[in-house]
Order: sequence, then C-alpha cells, then structure tokens
Amino acid sequence: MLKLLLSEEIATEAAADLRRRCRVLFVQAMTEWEGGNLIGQEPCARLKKAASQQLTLVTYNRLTISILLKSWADQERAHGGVIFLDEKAIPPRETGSLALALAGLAKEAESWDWTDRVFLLR
Amino acid sequence: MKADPSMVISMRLPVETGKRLRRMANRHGWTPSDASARLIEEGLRRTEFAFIDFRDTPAGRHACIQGSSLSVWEIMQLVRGYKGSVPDVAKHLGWPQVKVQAAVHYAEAFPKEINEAIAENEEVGIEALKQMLPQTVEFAPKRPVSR
Repeated sequence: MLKLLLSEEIATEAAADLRRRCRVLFVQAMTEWEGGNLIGQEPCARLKKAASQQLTLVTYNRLTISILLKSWADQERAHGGVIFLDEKAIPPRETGSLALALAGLAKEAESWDWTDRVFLLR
Repeated sequence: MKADPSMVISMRLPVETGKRLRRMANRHGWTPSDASARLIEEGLRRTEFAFIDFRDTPAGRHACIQGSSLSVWEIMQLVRGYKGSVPDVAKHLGWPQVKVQAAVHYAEAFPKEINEAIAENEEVGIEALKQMLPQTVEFAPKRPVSR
C-alpha cells in the first residue's frame, strides 16, 4: 500500500494537489509529519521513522538519500520505499506536474508492497 | 573547507574535550587536528552567517538552515529553479524570506562548496542509482499530449 511522505523541499501545495487528485492516497508533507518533530533531524533518523510507519519518501535529494539507502542495503535494513525526483524533468516549482506524475505512479502502484522499492520519477 | 595556506596555533584543551574530539575525528576518519580545524571553521561560519548550522549527512558534513532538514545546496537548487527569486522560494517552502536570503548569502560566500553539492546531486541519475541500488526503476508517467 503506497503511503507518501513528501520531503521538505517539496511545496506543501503539491501534497494538497495530490490529495485532490487521489482522494484515497495517503499523502503527508514532512512539515506536517509527526507534528514537525522530525524537521532538522539527520536523514537517517527521518528514514528510520518513515520505515517504521511504512511511508515511502519522495525527494529531490538523490545525493544524500541514495548513499544512505546503499548503506542500509549493505546492512540488510529495510525501508518503506523511496521515490527520487529529477529536478530537470519535474522542476520543484511545477507542483501541478509533480502531483500529476505522483498520481500517475500511484495509479499503477498504489496496492504494491513498497518495502525497499526505489523509483526515479521523470 | 580547509583554508590554504594554513598556520599553526597550539591549544590547551580539557582532557575530556580532547577525548570527545578524538572520538569525533575517529568517527569521520579525520585526524584530531583536522577535526579541530573543521569545527573552528564551522563555529566561525555560524557566528558570521545568520541561521547557518552544520549537520552530518551520508554525503559528508553540510551547511544547513537552522530549524530545517534542508542543506544550503538544496535551497540554492530551488533558488536556481525560481530564477533567483528569494520571495518565490520562501513562498514555496513556507519560510520567512530572511531564511532563504541567509542561504543565498552563505552560497555567495562559499560558491564552490554549494555548486559542487548541486553538481553531485545532478550526477546521481538512473545509472548511478542502479549501480548503488539495483532495484531502482525509472518511471515516466503518461503525460497529456499538448496540441
């Protein structure tokens, strides 16, 4: 079951837009998640908490998160899935395009088990 | 981050501080001298730049904005996307403009550090992701055809 956690660099408008497009899809913005208590914590702590709630992280940060995921894979630690975004294909300012792209993916993949899945959305 | 040319300054530290410094240096694979130089440089930058903090990430220590999960390079990537408009990025993030402006000032002072991180992020494309994480799948949703 796909449950999305949108990283902090993604505008909250995108979360609202996505909820309008996919009313059954669980979408949480990082700023709203856990009362904002995870904001400012290291990426590992956020990914750990997301994994415990089976949330799939959506992020433009391929640099840091990919290294973290590789480290977790080496340790055989599971996560709730990550959807990487390409800023050239879907610019962060185009929140409508992002919501549309995520809605397209959700349409195909909403019922999948997202454990350890990694997608690059373009 | 290390400035060149360098100078030698000897310091007297409490024993416990020295032990903590060694532990931190070991954790990062630095020498105690290198760790000291980095921490002093970071401390100076914190003093000189508003809202700047430093955080360990899997890609190294990065300058970030206080009270945020975002590194300065991530904010500058947004600034580029909004063609340099600080008000637009502030609106995007739901932040006061002054925090975005702080990131811009830091990036202007240390352009190499920030530009390198942005370039490294751009280099992590589908091939690099597949090498690190073989299960990676590329997905391009069907988009409406414009006429």
